[in-house]
Amino acid sequence: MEKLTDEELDSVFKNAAEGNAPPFDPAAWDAMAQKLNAPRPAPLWRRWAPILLLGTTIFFTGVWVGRTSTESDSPELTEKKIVVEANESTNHTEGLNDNESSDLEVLPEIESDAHKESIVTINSVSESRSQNLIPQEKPNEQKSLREIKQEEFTEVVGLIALGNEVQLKDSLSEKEVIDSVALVKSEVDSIDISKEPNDKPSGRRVYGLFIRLLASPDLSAIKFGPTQWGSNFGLVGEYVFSERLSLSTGIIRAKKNYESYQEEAYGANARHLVGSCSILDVPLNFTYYFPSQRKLSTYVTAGASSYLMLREDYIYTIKSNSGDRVYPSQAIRENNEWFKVLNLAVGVQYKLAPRWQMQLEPFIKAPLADLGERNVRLSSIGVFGGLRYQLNSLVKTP
Amino acid sequence: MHLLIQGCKRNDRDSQRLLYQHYYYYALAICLRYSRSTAEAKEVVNDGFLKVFDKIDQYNVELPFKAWLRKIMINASIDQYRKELKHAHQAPVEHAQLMHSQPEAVSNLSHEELIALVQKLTPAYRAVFNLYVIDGYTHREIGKLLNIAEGTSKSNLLKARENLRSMLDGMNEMPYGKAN
Repeated sequence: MEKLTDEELDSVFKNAAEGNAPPFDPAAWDAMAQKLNAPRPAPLWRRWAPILLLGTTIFFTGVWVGRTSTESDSPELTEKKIVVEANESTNHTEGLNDNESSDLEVLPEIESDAHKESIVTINSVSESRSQNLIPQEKPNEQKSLREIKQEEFTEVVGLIALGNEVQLKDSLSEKEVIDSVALVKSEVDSIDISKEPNDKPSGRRVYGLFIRLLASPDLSAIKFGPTQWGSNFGLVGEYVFSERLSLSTGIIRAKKNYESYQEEAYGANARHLVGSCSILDVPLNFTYYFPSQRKLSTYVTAGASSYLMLREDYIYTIKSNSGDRVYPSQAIRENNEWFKVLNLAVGVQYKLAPRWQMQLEPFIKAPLADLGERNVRLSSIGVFGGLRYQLNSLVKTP
Repeated sequence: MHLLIQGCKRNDRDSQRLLYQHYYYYALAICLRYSRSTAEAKEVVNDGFLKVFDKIDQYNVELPFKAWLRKIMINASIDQYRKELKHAHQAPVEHAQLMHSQPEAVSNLSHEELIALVQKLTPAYRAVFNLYVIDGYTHREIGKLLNIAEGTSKSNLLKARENLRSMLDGMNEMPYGKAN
């Protein structure tokens, strides 16, 4: 008398389950039709949709308002303002008489061979005129030495232009003005920019909002098993909260394909697993930007990702008494893995335009826990290529 | 089949009926294993098909429809198990039998009789036995699905097997070797 082993017992009931074919009940459809006709509660997403829509509208309105309120500080608009004001100034000087052009009357005091005095005099001459020629500088806005001298040079050139329209006094020869211009110009050229301080003064805080559009190939594997290609596409919002640091989050639509022959990865009975998952990757990352004076800069990123598993398709092979059997399996929106993936990345960034940067970012995503329906330890690597756009001007506070 | 799926996506009632009739036996066979009775299994089948028709847009046509249906029916059965668990008595059935079941005696039983034995298990044992032995889930997955510890899943499987052996032994003692 032999006792049934576990395998034999399992086999008996497995065969019974597969061979069992209950007859169709014609009345069953009537009950089903009643169920289909009965009113059903709205799905969860539909109940939350108005709130989400409202929240999204408020967010983007806030971003838009923030952007428009800071646009007046943008370089493009400032340049337009200068042109308009300069035109107004030119028109004004066309009607000046000798008494009104008091600025120009100071010019005869310039000693052409005294470098410092000439600069001071030109500065004093340009002081009142520059109120119209260039915008008022903000008290807390610091400029490099080269920028200051360049402005002086521009002002003097502007004065020459005015001098052509307003008759110069006899005591100020054209040659003296040109000499002064040459002096300033030579000083501008002689400035060694390498001696200028690299960093902006500390103690200031910088705030700003960016969005990043990302795309990447994806190589995923269970532990160090075979890899398969997938893809990532995403939109990430980034909040810069200091000169070097930022916090970012967003949504990355990921397609991850993988396979494994490691039994412990998906259960003792299985021999082989092929998986294909559509995932919404929601990262929460901190980024540190290394200081750089050039267009090319580097940064490092670290954080965690949540995986919202939209769809998981598996085909797994199971050992059985009658040989290997293949089971397909599917899970749709059944698993949300919150902050179970570690994100690490290094990146290079190239400034394309004042508000646009191009980024290249090799990354690794390492699991901190088992993921998905099959509890797999899924790792991914890839290289994000992205565009980063500055939504608003950086707001600086002293 | 493809036309039926497309029809169901359009919420066409005739397509839904044909799909239902075509797969009814398959779905019922799954749900019977997880249920206490045929009436309960039929109810679960209809709950499952309701999900099928509601979520037919999510079905990936590149995969076998049966696998998707199977998954939904198992989930519907587990939903029913959770409801049932609130009212079910968890005491294991008597299994202190001295005799052992014999392979040759078991082979005489029909599929229906064997499934009827599974239905006699307590809900917790039945669910674990079905998920592990027949549907290929791991203990870790079962623990997650049923909200129990992995060790509890293993223990329930052990007890489920013991109970089934006991029931088989009991049937062997009956005059005609038939259940019920």
